Amino acid sequence: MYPTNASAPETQLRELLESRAEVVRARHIEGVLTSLARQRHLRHAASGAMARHAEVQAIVGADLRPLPTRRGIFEITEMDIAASGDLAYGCGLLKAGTEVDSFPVRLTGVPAPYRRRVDDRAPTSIRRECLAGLFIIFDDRPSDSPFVERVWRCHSERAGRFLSVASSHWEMVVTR
Amino acid sequence: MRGPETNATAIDCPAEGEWLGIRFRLGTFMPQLPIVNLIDRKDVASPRATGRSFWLNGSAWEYPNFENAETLVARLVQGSVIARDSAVW
Repeated sequence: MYPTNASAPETQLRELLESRAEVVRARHIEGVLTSLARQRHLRHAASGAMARHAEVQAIVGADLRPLPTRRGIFEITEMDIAASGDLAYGCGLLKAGTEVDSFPVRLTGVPAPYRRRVDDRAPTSIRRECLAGLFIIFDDRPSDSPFVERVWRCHSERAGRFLSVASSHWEMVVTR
Repeated sequence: MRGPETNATAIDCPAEGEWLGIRFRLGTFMPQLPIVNLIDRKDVASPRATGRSFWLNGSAWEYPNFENAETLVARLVQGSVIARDSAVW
């Protein structure tokens, strides 16, 4: 168990976990708790790259293998993909060997083949821009209504730019 | 209301924003608002009525949340604000 910061008692940590539990879809609550403890500790004790790595691990719920350069660039392994389900990184795709320098973003609700085709066509500059510092947590669900394809919600933790994929559906969106 | 998009577009996203979306099935439409007018981010915003409701087609509707989105859709269908072409499936 990694040490927690003295100002972060167990109750606060559990509240943080519960607030994210639906997002991370944690299978092993104690494992995520450990990751969050490590994340909190590193936020105070380590520089940005290490803290970002810990946060990615906490959200994905799996160990990411840092590259030797330790510049905040992380390589995704097959194991990470299996553990993270439908998590995608930035506007990129989860592929073994992919290097990412940002936080994960859920891109569910868009058929994977279509998403892949759009992303592959996007200019490299846009893809790189989309990978820079944006953090959106996305959640969605199917619907049994004959009128509704899916219901989704998301929130951003910081400002940035993302790639909105093409879609043949229209939507009603509420924001605040 | 956000229409279909024919291309991928880079969008600026504010910090600390929250969004809820209801994606409608193909064949669903609003008789008073042709979806063709909304294509490629020609969004139409509905004014706020109260802190918990918004105006649409001359009536105030309660904002939906993630769990009860279908309730709003059912009311909109009942009020003929949303319809579905059964030939499209």
